[in-house]
Amino acid sequence: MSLIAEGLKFDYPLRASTSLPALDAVSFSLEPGELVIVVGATGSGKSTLLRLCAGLLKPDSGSVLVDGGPVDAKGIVGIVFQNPETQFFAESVHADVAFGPRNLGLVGVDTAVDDSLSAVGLDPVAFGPRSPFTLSGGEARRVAIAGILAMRTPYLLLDEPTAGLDPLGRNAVLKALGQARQRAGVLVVTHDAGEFLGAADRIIALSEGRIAFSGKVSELLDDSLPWEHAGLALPPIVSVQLAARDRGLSVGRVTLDPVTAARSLVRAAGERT
Amino acid sequence: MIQFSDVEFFYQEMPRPAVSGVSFDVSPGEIVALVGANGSGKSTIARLCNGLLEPCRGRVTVDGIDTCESSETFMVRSRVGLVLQNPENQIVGTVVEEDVAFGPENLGIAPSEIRQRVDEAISSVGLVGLERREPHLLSEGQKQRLAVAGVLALRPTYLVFDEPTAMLDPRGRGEIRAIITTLRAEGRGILYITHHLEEVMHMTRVIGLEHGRIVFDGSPEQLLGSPELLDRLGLEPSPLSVMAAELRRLGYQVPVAVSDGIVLVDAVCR
Repeated sequence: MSLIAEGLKFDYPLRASTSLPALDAVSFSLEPGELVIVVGATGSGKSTLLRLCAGLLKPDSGSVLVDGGPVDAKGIVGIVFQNPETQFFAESVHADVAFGPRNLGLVGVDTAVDDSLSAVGLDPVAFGPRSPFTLSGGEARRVAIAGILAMRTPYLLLDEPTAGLDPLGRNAVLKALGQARQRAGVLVVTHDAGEFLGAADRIIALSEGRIAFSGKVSELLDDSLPWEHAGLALPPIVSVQLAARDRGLSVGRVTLDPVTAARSLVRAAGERT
Repeated sequence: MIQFSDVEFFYQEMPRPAVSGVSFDVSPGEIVALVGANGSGKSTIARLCNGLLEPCRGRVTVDGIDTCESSETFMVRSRVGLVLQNPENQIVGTVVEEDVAFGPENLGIAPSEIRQRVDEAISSVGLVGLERREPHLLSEGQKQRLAVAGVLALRPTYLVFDEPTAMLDPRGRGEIRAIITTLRAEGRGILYITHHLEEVMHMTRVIGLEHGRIVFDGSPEQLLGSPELLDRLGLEPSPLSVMAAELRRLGYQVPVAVSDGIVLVDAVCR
């Protein structure tokens, strides 16, 4: 059981001398129960990869198989795009979130809708009856995410799910994706690796349409070189610890917790003098 | 200046007003951050600034002109430029320079002056050399800079930015921030909506919104001193700021606004 992309090659037909992203020789897999983030600068091909994985674009060569079958089989892959407000159509938030699961013939849709809205931190009683077109940008994004959570697909693909969210909304979405990961494979495209490092199992870094590096999060935080080669910046909380190491301070294992990082830095400076 | 006097606005079908009792002003040369949790009314205020939305109660004036005055709509729109989160929704031209020319053409400005304004605007956002490029072939950061150029061609006294960096990668964010610094140095008044506490630290003043009402109007330093307020306004210090705060607590001399972690290493090694 997994989503397997193999040797993906894709080029936009009208691409002249443009900055539009193409992909070449991209292979990876996604298992239910893991959260993988795809990072890369704008134009590195992240969103193209997501569209290929959802079956919305067909690769020039290579393939995407989900649990051994085609990606466009019903109810297998859920996707949230960058501009969720362009995906709404129903007269109420409840109806909009209910559309996907109802279409799949699932039972207990109303409960699933309420649960999904709660999971992204929106009160179903207050938001359910509202018109989706009256939502603020951050609320709209969360409703779109609730829409695919309610479908309970075994794979979730999300493009920049936390862009424009305040910390409350962001933490709610991170938590909801953490919960979804227990039953599904979650692939998140983001330009802000730092935001997801605490939650992610693996990272795939794209640079100019190719995989620049990939691996476990814990292994990739120790070395800035692959990040630099891919034109990416390590999250500041990580690079400060690597900078301390370059100064000859033994700060120990890189941590994502800022208080631990501060204390290790102080301890290391004390040991040196 | 842009002046809000006891402004209230509600959307149809909504039980509560989106903003209520809002009074503040933005003067030329000022850069004011507007912060607040999702749904607190920030984007509504942005759209009230140039008459895109009109207040249901109270008044919004731009250099003394009421934004509801229909004969002054062009005047208000050309004085207050609005840049939104998603550049895709703001681009209309088939190539870069046509897009930038769209605004001044609509105002009936003479062709020779349009040329001058377009060149000037394209140069201030660093898109020189891309004048004939089709907008969809630009990177996201370039698209947002194009949106800014389109607004600058109207020679606005004020600019309102609604989370202009939300969709951009770190490089694109840096590009937009650099442009904003320049615009401010030119003496324009700027209202800047953001969720990033790091961006707020570089502003002259911060206005905080909660449920459509102003609950804070003060300096970034005052705001940073109140964790409870930060929480209510949906602002979260970055991990690097939390690390800096811990070092300060441990007795090290660390500045309030840290953008590069090397400062922290230096402070501890000193």
